[in-house]
Amino acid sequence: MPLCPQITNTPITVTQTADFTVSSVVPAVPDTADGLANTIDQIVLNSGAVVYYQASAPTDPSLKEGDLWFDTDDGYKQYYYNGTAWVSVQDTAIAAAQSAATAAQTTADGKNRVYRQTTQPSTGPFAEGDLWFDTDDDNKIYRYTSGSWGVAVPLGNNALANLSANKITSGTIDASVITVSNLNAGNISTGTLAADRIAAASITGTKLVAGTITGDKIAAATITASQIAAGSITTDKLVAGTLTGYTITNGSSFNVTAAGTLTAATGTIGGFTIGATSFGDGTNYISTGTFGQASFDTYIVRGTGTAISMSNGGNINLNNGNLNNATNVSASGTVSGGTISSSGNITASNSITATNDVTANRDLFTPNHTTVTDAANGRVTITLGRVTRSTASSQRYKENITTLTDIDELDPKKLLDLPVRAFTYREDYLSESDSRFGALIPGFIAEEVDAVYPVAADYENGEVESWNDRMIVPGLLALIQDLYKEIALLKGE
Amino acid sequence: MANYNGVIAPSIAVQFYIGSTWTSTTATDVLETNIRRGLKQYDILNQAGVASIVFNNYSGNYDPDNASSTWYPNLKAGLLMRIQATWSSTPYTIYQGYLESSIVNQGHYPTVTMTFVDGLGYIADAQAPVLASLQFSETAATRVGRMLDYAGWSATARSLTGTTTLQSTVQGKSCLVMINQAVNAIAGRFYISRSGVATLVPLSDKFSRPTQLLFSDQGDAFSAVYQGLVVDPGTYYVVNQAIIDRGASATVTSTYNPSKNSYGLVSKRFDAPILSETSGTNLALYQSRQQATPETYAKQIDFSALNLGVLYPDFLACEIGDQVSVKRLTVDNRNLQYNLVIEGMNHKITNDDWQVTFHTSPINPYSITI
Repeated sequence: MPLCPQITNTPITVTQTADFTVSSVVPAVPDTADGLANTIDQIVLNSGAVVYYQASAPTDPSLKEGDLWFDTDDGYKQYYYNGTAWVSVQDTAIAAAQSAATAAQTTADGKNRVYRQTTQPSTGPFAEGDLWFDTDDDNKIYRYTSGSWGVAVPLGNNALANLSANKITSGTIDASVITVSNLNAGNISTGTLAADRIAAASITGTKLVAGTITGDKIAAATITASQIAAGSITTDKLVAGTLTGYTITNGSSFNVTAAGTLTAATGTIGGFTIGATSFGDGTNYISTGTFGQASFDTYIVRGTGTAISMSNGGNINLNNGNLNNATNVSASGTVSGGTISSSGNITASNSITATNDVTANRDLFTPNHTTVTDAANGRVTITLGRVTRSTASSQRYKENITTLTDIDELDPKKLLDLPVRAFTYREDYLSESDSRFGALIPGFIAEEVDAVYPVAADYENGEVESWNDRMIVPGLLALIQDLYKEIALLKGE
Repeated sequence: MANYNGVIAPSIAVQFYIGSTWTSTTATDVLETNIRRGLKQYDILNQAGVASIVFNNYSGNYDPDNASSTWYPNLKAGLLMRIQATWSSTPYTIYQGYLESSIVNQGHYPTVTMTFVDGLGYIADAQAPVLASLQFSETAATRVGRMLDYAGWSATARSLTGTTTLQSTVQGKSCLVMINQAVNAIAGRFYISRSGVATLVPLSDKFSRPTQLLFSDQGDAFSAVYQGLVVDPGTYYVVNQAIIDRGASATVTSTYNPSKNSYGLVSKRFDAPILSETSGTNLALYQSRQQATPETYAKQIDFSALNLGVLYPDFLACEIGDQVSVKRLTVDNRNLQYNLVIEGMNHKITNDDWQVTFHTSPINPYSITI
C-alpha cells in the first residue's frame, strides 16, 4: 500500500429514476427474411410509396396509388394499390409457373409412392409397384401387387452394389456359408482359439507371458543342458546320492575334478576332519604341510610319543618321498623311501631302503637279517648321521688297471709329505657321549690331504669334508713294500 | 553523464531486447528521455505511448547503418526497448515499446534520436478479418483477447478483465476500433502498461485501486510537491444524454433531465455493441449521469521527480487508472482536495532534471452494474 493517505471510494450505482428519460429504439435487424417480415410493419420507399406487411388488406386512409402490400398469411402474395383497390400483381410468368407446377404434380401423382410406416398403408389410391417399408419390422419391404401389399419383397444378391459391413449390428452370420479374407485378429473379441488353428512351430516366446509355463507342459527328458543357464542349477534340485562321475565345484571348500581329484577345506571322512592342509582326528593326521606334518608323496610325520608303524606285514613306502618321525619308525614289512629319518629307531622286519639318507638318532634295525661276510658291500659305515656303503673292489667293476707308482700324481711318496696331526673335535661337533669327546686324537687334516694327495680328499657340497682311507691305504702299502725291499737289500738278502 | 546515479533520483537504464536478453546501453550515452503514455484527457481515443531518446553518438554505436556498431544490425524498426528506473536496488520499468524511427544527427555534436511506440501502435495497425456471418457473441475480455491475437500480441503479455457480453459481429474493422467498442461496453480503459502488458480494466476497477500519490502545497506527510496545477471548471465536459449504440441499429438513449434543464442537452454517442438491452440501459444511465454535473478538477499536475525519497517506490509504480490526490490551500485560505484518476503521464528526463506531468480526470462516485 502506498505511503500517502488513501481515498475511500463509495460507489453510487446509477439506477433509473424519474430524473432519467430512457428509450430503446429500433431493435436489432433480424438475420432472416421471415424475421424481417414479422418485425417490420411498413417501409416507406424513397418514392413515397408505402410497403405494408400484414395479414389483411391495409385500409389506411392515406393509401395512394403505388403502395404495395405483402399478404403475410397468404405466402406474401403481393398486391398493388391502383388508387381505389388492391390488385394482385402476379404476372403471367407466375401463372405459367403455377400451371407447370400443377402439371408436375399430376405427373408426380402418377408415380409410384413409397410408404414408411408401421402399419400397412390403407388409404389409397395405390398403384402397382408402390412400396411400403414396415418401419417397426426392420424396414421390411412390401410391393403393392395385384391389388394388395402381398408378401415382402426380398432383396436379390445384385440389389446392393456395396454393402458396408458396419451396417450389420445384430444377429448372427453363419461363418460356414461365407468366405472371409483378410480377417484381422484384432476383431476376434470373444471365444477361444483352438490350438489346431495355430500353425505348428509358429508361437515364439514373445507371445507367452513370462513365468507361465509349468513343468507338466514339458515332455519328459526333452530339456537339454543348452536350455539351462550356466551356473543356475543348485544342489537342492538333485536327488541325494545320484551325482556320479562329474565335476563338483563348491567354491574353495569342496571340489571334485572330472579326473576324480577331491579337495576339501572342511568336512570329515571316517571321523577324520578335513582341514585346509591336513587330514586327521586331532591326534593322528596326515598333512601336506611343512616339517611336523606328512603326506603320502612327501612326508609321513608323527609327533612326539607314538611311533609310525605298519603291522601285519605292511610296508611304509614313500615312493622316493621322505619319512620323518620324532620317535620310532617301524614296519612289519619294509620301510622305503627317499630320505628316511627318525629321532628314534628305524625298524623294518625285512628291509630298509632309501634312495637318499636313512637317519636314525638311535638304532637302525633289520632284525630278521643276519650280518654276513660274503655279501657285496657288506660293510655299513655310519658317519655324520649317514648310513653309507663303500664302493666295491672286484675287477668286474674296474678298467685301466696299472701300477700305482707309474702314475705321477698318485705317487705314494707324496704321502710322506702329509703331516700327521693331533687335535680335538670342536664341542659343537662331537657328541658329549663320545668317549673321545674333548680328547686329543691323531689324524689328518682333510685340507692338507687335499693339498698333498688330492685323490684321498672327499668333498661335500663343494668343500673338503674328509679324507678317504681307501685312497691312502694303497699308497701306504706301496711305501711299505718299497721299504721292505730296501731293508732286504741292505740286509743283503 | 548519465541521467542519474540513484542517489537523488533513481538511476535510469535504457535497455534493448536482443537475442532474448535485455542489454543496457551505456548510461552516459543517454542525453534525454521523453515518455508519453495514456490520454491527455479522458474522453479521447486511446493513443500509443511514445518515447523518444536522444543518444550521444560520438561512438557511432547508435547509427543503425554503422556496421561497426556494437548494436549492429539490431537497431531497426521493431527493436524492443524498455526504460528502467532503479531505486534501492529495485528496478521499475516505466516504459516499454518498439523502435519506430531513428534520426541521426551527423553534426559536430553527433546524436541519434530514437522514437519508440508501445504496443498500441502495433495493435492499431492490425485489422480484424471480415467474417462471412455474424459470430462471436462473447465477453469484452474475450473479444479484446481475440483482437490481440489478430495483432499477433503475446498471449502472456495481457491482463484482460471485462465480463459484459457483446453482440456477435462480422468484424471487418481495425482491431483498435473493436477494442474501443469493448472498452465502451464496460466503461473501462485499455492501455499498454509501463511494462508492456496489454491491459483491459472495467469501471469497477477504479474503486479498488489504492491512492498512489498525494500532492500537496502544505507539506503533508508522505506527499510530493506539485509545481503546476491546471484546474478545469468542468462545464465544457458536461454530458447529460448518452446514446448507446448497441449495433445492428439498436440503441438505448438515456437523458439526465436535471442537467439538461440547467445546462441544455449535451449528447454523446457511445459505440458499445452490448448484447443485453438491460446492460445497455445501465450503461446509458451511467454515461448520462457521471458527467452531468460540472465539477472543478485538476486536469494536469506538473511536478519534479527529483528528491522524492521514500515516495519513489509509489511514484515509479504509478500506472494509468491509479488514483492520486491533490491538496491545495487557496490564497483566500480555502482547503481544497481533488481526487483524481491518472489518464496519462509524461516524463522528461535530462541530465539535470526529471519533469513529470500527470493528466488526470475526476473520480466521480458513480458506478454501473452491467
